Amino acid sequence: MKSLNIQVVDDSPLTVKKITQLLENLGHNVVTVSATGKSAIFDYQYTKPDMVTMDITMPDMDGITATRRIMEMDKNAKIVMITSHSQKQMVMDSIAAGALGYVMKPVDIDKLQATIEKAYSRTVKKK
Amino acid sequence: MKNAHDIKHILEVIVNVSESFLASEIGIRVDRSELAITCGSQFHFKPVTALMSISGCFRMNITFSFDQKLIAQIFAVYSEGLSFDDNDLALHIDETAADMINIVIGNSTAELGEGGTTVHISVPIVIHEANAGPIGTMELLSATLFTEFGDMMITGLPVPGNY
Repeated sequence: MKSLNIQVVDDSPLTVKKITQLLENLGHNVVTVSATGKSAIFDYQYTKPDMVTMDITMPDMDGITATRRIMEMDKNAKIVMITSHSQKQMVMDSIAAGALGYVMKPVDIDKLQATIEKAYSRTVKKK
Repeated sequence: MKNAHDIKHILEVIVNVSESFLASEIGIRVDRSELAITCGSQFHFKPVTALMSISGCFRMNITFSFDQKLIAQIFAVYSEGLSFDDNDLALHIDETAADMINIVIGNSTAELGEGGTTVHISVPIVIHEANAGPIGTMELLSATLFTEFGDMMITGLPVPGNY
């Protein structure tokens, strides 16, 4: 697949470094990093990334709410959750908010790649 | 969940996920783990401690408290391949403790939320031995995980009004 410009949303600097490393190893570019849900919405408007990776538990606004807000602004936004939450309800809430995939931490690079490719192909088909 | 049996179950779930994380992600085997009850006035944290709150069907705070050598080893493996400013090492050690508790507690939520109640978790924070004083006189249940690099203690801290 083509190289994507990706916005990483996570409040842990160490996790951001790890996710960035994985995404770059997959050939993608991390163009913006946001540490909170609110900043994710703000940054998305100005960056318009090809895809967003979104944590759930963050200060000031959770990732599910941020996903819903971004989808309200841009119905073509492509968002994949990357989170430690393992409850089915969180997966369902994320998908209901508009997320196209769900990857559990600790992140497995093959799972991340498959989820990004699947999310990207789904949205391309939609157009 | 309000009684000692429930707290024990919560800790056992978290211990199992912790052991799995240490083995699969870090390559550290837990030699053995022990549950113990300590009076809050006798309780002491280890040098690096991360705390998260769990809420939903029950409310409690969980701490992961690490011997320095153990958290340093976890950081070394967890951050392999990443570049850091050596001056920020202490900060990254703290971030490692926060990441580990976040991953372990998050991965535990499926089992802790059995029955369908959504389990909410807070953002992790890190506290240090120097500013962590005694915790009242309540009895606390802790699990200690023993490894070749030192110990890690997982403790359930009751939230006032819930026990």
